[in-house]
Amino acid sequence: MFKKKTRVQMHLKDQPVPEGAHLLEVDDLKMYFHTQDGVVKAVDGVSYTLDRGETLGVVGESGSGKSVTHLTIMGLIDMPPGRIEGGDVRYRGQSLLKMSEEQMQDIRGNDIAMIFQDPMTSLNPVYTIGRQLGEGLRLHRGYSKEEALKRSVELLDMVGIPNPEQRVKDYPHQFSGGMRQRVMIAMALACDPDILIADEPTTALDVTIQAQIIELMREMQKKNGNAIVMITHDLGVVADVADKIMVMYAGHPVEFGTAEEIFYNSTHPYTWGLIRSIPDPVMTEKHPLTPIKGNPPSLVTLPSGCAFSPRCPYATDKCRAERPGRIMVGPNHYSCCHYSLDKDFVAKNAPKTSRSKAAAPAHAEKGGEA
Amino acid sequence: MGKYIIKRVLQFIPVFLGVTLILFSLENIVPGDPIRLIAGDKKLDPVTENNLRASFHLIETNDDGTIKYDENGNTIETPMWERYFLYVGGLLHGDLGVSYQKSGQSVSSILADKYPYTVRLAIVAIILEAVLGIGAGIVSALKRYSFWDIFVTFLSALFVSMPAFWLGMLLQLFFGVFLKDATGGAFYLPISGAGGPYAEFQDWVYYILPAFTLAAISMAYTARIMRSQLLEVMNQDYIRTAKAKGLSRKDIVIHHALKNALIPVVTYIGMDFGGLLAGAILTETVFNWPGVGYETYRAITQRDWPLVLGSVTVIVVVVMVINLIVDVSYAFLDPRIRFGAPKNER
Repeated sequence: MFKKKTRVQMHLKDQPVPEGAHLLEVDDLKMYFHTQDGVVKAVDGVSYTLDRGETLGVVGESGSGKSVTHLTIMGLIDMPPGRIEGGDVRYRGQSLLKMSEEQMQDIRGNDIAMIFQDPMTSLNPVYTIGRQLGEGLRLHRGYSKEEALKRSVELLDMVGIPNPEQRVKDYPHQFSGGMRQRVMIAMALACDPDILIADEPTTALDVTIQAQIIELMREMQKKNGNAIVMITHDLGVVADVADKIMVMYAGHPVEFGTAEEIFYNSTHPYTWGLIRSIPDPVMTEKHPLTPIKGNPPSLVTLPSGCAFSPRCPYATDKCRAERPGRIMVGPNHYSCCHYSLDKDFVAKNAPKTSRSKAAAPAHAEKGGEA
Repeated sequence: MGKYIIKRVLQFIPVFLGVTLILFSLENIVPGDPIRLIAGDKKLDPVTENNLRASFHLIETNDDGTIKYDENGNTIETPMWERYFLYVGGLLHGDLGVSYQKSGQSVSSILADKYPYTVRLAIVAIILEAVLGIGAGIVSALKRYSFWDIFVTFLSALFVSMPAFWLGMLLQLFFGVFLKDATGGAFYLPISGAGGPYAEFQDWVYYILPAFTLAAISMAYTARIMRSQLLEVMNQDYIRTAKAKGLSRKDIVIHHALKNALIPVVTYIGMDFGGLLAGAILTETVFNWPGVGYETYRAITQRDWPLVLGSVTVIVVVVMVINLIVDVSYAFLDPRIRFGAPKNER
């Protein structure tokens, strides 16, 4: 079915990461959509690095550019209307943005794989699970139909689907939502990718299933040593799994740090808003659920100064006039707020979550485990 | 699936009875006496006329075949319901009756004579429709807003809004008359009939214009459905999944998009094939095509009710069977239908 590729495959995955480089380096990436309504600055200066075995949590509201950033990295944005306006993405030292479409096809699914938000619609309804699982293997590894099917059974077994020999012949509509997301994970991991980008993998699932899926991804990571980018709008989801967290707002990272720093030492009011929005199982009057008021700004006409200033309860004239740069709060922790270094301001306004008191020893434990 | 097919076949019965009943009623409502029409301008003598009427069961006869008279010496008209039961009874024995106009010829033999022409024309038209329609739709969708897309959209709008008979006449005028004049008779296409032993072309040449005319409207619809379906499918999440797997655009279109996009197109073409097999009255008339459509048209104008009824009966059965085949074939394309409703949806 698939034509044997005549071109020389790069197999970047097998090459060592060059000295001083990271597995994935996103460097001031800018991607704007040029639409009839104007220029949409969907990705506006995103930077981070990722190494094998690491998990990066990307958090923000809908429309903050989390997904688009990673679709850009995968080269899944149609150009036009999209256009790279600057920056670079390097995978094992090689720029993904400079690669040809053919080279990118070798990378996709093989080196960098992606899981999408809605498992109900992300599988092709007219093909069996086995065929869809084996597709990547046949394409990237040159497996025969039988080999691919055999491996598909193993993959289904690996992600905890009972009776995989039978289920591999089933069609997507015969699977439940949680099962389908497991299939998606199996599909993404089929070619043993270096990086797994999970775009809100649990948003469309039941809460009970969510935990299972997250746990599954962690297990797989432990086994394969791949890096994970976990995109979510729910800080609670990344709380346990992420090593680093990037908080995005209006196409721009507003705070970046380790999970610990984001949860217990965050200095950006938007991060505080997100933390306050995590529902607490025991809701008391002392800890009311506080949503962030208003809506994310239009990415065509961003507010002057800090993009969050119109919604920020602490915004001053300086905020509205001047766009804050990156202010280093810790060695690898930055925040884009003028008042990040103002200790009184942070102490007065940061959320006092029950976590920050009770969770501190628990976190130390987890640190030891990692 | 077997149960479903049986259920569908059983549904044929009421539809079939309904259609024949409606036609039978129409026969009584529509003005014009078929027996007078047989005679044309001449006046029939009463004995011949009564014998004719008796032979078609239009008036009642005694058991020995002689004509029954009432006390005033007038013939007695057979009630409609009685003729209806006679007709349906005959149908159950495979007897479609005898034509009023073509003396003594059974309707079955006339239809058997005409149907092959209609079927062949329908097959050529459906191939044209499928190949050109689907092809144009795919090109149009994949090269969206390009010259070809605009060209296809324009042509399909034109064909959809153009009556088939008018298109047929224009084609006749262009390929049969203008082209013949312009090339001094060197090149033109036949505009009438279906070939035959003395025809000046090979038989297949006769199919070009009628088949194109017949296919034009559906071709335009097929192209439109194909285009919109493919565009919609290409925006689906599973296409993005396929892209993320590293498949090339070609593989994505061929393996992931087309099979999904074709489902409604196949339905449309299948249903349309049923319609084409029913005979295209307008197209066949314009091109003097010796098929059922033309024959039905002639039968209606001549009040040849047995022939009208017979051809409609056959058409009803053909359309129902084709629709059933289309519905069943759907299951082969779409596993969601094959396996019934999803059982464990989340």
